[in-house]
Amino acid sequence: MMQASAVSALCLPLAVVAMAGQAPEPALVIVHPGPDMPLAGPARLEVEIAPASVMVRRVTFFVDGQQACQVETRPFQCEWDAGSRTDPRIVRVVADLGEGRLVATRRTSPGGLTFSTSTSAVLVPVRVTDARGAFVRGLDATRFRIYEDGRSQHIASVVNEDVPASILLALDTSASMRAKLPDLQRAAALFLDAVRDQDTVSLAGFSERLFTLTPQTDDRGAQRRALDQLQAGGETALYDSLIRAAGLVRTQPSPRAIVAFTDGGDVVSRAAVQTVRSALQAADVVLYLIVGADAPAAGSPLAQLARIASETGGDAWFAPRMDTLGRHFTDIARDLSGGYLLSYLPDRSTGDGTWRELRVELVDAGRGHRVRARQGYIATGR
Amino acid sequence: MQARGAFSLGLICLALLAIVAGAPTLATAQTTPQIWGSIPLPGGTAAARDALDLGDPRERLGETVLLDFVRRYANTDLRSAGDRFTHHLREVTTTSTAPSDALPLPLPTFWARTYGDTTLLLARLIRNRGALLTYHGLMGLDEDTLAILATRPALLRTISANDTAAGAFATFGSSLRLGPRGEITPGDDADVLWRRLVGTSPTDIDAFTRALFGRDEGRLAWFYDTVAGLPPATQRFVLASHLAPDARLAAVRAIYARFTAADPGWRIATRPFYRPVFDAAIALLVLDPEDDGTVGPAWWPAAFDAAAGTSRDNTRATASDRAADARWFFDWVFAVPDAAQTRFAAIRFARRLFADTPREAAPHMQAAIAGVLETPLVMMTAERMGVRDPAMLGAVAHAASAARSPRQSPALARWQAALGLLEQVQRRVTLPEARLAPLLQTLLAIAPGTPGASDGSVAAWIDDHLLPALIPASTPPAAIEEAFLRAATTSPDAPPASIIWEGQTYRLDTAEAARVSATTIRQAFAGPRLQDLLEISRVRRAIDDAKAPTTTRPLIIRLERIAPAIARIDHRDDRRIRDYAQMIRAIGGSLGNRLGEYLSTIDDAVDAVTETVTASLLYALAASPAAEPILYAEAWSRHSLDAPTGLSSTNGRSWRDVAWQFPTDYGLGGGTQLIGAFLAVDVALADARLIRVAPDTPNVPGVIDDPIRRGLVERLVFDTPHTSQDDIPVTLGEDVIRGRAMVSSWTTTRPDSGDVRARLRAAGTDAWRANVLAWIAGQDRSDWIASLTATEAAGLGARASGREGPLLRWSGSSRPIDGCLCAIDVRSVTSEQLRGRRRGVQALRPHDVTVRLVEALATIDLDASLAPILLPMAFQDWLGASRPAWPDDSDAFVHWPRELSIDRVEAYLMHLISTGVLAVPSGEETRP
Repeated sequence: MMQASAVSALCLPLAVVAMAGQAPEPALVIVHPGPDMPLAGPARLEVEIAPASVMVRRVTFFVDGQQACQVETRPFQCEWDAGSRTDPRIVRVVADLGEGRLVATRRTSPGGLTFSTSTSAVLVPVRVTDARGAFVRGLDATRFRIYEDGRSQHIASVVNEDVPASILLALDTSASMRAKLPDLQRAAALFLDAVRDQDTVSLAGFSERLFTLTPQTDDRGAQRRALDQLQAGGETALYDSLIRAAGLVRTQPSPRAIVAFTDGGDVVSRAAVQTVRSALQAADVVLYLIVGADAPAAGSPLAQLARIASETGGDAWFAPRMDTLGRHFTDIARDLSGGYLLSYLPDRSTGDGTWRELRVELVDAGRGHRVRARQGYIATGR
Repeated sequence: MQARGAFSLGLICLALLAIVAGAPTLATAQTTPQIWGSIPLPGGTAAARDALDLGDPRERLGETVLLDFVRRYANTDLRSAGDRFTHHLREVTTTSTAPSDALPLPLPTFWARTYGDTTLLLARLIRNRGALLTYHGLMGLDEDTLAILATRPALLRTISANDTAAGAFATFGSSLRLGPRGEITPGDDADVLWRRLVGTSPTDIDAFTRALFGRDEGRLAWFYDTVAGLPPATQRFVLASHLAPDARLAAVRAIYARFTAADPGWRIATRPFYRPVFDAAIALLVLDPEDDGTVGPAWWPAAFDAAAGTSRDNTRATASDRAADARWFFDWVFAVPDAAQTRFAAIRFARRLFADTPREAAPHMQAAIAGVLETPLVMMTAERMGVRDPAMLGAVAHAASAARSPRQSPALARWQAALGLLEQVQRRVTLPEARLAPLLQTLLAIAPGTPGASDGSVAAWIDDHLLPALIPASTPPAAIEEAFLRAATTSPDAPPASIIWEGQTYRLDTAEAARVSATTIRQAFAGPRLQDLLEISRVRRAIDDAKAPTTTRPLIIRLERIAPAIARIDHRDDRRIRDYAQMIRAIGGSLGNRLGEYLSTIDDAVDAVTETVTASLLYALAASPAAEPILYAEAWSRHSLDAPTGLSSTNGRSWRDVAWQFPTDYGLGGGTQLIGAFLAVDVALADARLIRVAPDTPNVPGVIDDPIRRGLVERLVFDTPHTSQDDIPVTLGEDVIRGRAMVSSWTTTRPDSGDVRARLRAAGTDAWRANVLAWIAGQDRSDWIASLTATEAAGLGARASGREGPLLRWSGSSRPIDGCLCAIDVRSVTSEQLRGRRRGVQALRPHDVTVRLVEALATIDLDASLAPILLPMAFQDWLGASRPAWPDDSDAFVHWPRELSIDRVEAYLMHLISTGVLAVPSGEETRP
């Protein structure tokens, strides 16, 4: 056991808060979750700070080390989605009093009931276009067939058009983009104009490393402002950045997409292009890639990446002229808005970590109709 | 602009005169010589820093701006920089309303008498190289010396009039110590020695000082300054205190010759702040000689000479004993200038590992030293693995030497990867030497070029030796790799620790983080697993034992079963994989009597799987715990120990040389590509350790150049939960807090500037900085207190409680200096001694981060032993925030640690919670 002073949660405030006179010493108590409560699903986080006369600047709630919410006025409570996990969580609450603070920590109990199953629904974003490239709308479940490893599966539901997409827009800001950045910013602004109101977008830039400029939000104003802040510098780590983007977007609701622009090949990534495929597959995310360069030779890493984009149900474009970028971006926005989301319960367990090949077909497909969907998924049971 | 351009220097001077008309510090300068005065800087220090690219003024002391100006530009073009400075003064004098700031000025009377009027000094100073260098030198002197120099203006004028003397004085002047009876020379009873070496008596201050700084292109001053900065034992060593006077002088002259011979192209007049990459001074700074003035027993010189000779098998290292003293040390290390650093590494290696070795073991030591000279990385790896037995170290050297023969590149890659894998296991689980030795012996026995080496021997070693040492024999085949990764990341001797934070008990489990990371890397890798390697290796060995088709048929079935795993090796266009698939098609359904035709195909497949699995496992362990483990899933496939063609830095060198060198990233536009040995891969991948706690913050391209950054970052892999905690004194946090409290009390007690200076110097602050801070204190100001670093506070606190200062063994990587895969122990080295050495930054600055972390942890009642676990997050922040303005701008690394907040440290702790490294153990609920 390391040496550390055993200061209790209630003693700590005494040490850090100096109160004048004989006023009752301030105390913070976690009301929700209670000592014996599990934390799962939509959950209330609540603390009481006594006495009521204590001035409190803000109360910050953390769950398992991540900030869950921040409250500045009484009652100090917020709603937080704990998801389906029922294992113990660490809830830490910090009340900032201005001239000191109160801290309390609680470990929640494991859930008495666990709602677990070895078979989870698989969601498959699907896009159907006609011979002219226009989206075919109004299709229902009877018009689709879906096969997993060649075995026909029962489609549970088909949702179209209204399903909000989670999009991560990743833009190359490496030094080579310095002169091209204004064109890219204009094209990306067109993309933000074209995506639906219900879609959430996180804007990110990347050079040696990917960094997000806005959280996942539908606040287009914030995204446009962030877009204006982009500056060019550094080298290009495209593969590393796509992997990081997949890691960020995988926690968002499906359907998920990464829309990435780069002006050339990878320069400094640690990861190989094949690892990008693994990351995209693990995150169940569709990749749309625009490359501001001529089409690469077959077999080159960028050509492989284009193939990977196609495997995810997305696509890749090679656009050496920056003034055509806007068209590609708006095409992608249109593609994202015109899809269906199929769900089915696989006839085998989904927790074995194997790769399952998917094939989606259209029944009575019209002439020239084309179906695009991801070509498989990793059965992680999520 | 034209009017502004027409402004004359005289007008500037008039303006300056007006600004400082009431300066009290100059009022008495004409009558009584003063030690300290001030010089006004029109427009203020912040504007000057901005105009002259001297770093962010918000992060630095304003009063060092003139010192920094000299340090930044004296090695390049001080004249042009002076023009810029003049232009800036012209601008601010005519357009700015910002008030002047005062800068410290030593010996104001000297400057006033030399330049006519001190108010004109700045304008003249910045256009006079000799004067600027003299100013820099005076700023590093103690008050007693300054007081004596105040009475010798002619001496100072002589120095400043000569660029060589001024350059030497600027850089090495701080070791000048003048007392009532003359120069106080460094070393015990060394006056006579210095008199003979300098050519005049130390009591003749003028002559001695002129000679010291004027002779031998500044090399004499460099030697003098080096000796002055050494601890007493090293002073006795270098000044040959154990010898009779005449022999002593000859020895010291011979040693001094190494200083005069160093880097003939270095002109102190034009590059005063330059230092050679490796030289006698840096060797002395990190050497740890015995108190008797030697570095080893008398039989060492013969053993080292034999090791450096051509015959490796000369085991009779007892020719004619000669003291392993300083003269021998310098003779041996610098006998071959290009090999001096490697030879120094060999001495240091011997000091660490053979200090107590009896003479009977001389042949082993000789072999090991030869190994360091020939393949230093493999010997440093053996040391890092905990090998201490001289015989085993000698055996490692022999194996490495045998493996250097031509045409063994693929076999060497497999063998090295196995050795690298063992290194990565060992650095985490620390097998005792009794368990490690058989593993290493059996691996050395199959090194390429040795009689035991054969096809498939590495795979067999993993099956027969490595795995039985780590995992139970009953492990189900499908779980072998999982069990191996668990065993390779979890030390049974270092169970998870517990800490209490804010009343809550947490379990600290770094091993689990490494296991999860390594497992994630391997899961992202699509190729064969460790159990696949065992299976094909076992089948191949079983074929040799099979007598008839009835017994080979089951083997064919096993070969068919493993085919899909082998087919997943798709990282390169590998003929061996295609051949195996063809073989499976050809022998499928046969009776097995054709299996003998395919032995070479199966052998090739065993090799391919061995290369793939060992290298990938090695990377998984070397990179873990990584912030983004999946990035390393395939990185191993771009690691080569062949010299790339067309790469200028390795042109002309064979793969045999490259294959044993530290793995270096040659990227070359195709992503990361490590070239070099499969050893110390975790050191090469040290940036995997960095954790960005707020990943959503914009990524500012780094300004720290790559060699410096790597040197700083690789320090992180030398901390392990098992080794670092012993290095951290439990009192350090208390020292920092005590030091801060003591300094805070000075705002009321107001110690005089001399007292402030003395205390800071005793606490380890360099002479220039101590003088500047003391000068500010003397201005009746207390704002300087906020600029103290945590290390300085710890030094003050420790001195106040009668302890030694903070341990600087948390400093940077020792590898660039002596090859050791360890943190350098530089307790006796100060930053001023490393000025001009770019590696000085990486050697000395990391401890500021650690000490500040310890202070912050103490503030929230957490133990100092948590600091190493927080370093990967702190280093990421630190490297992103530190923006040096010139190559050896070490002050740029000080600001961030000073500003590190408790909130940020808590964010680090929260990150550990979010990743499960800190977890609440079952049954440990929050206390009521």
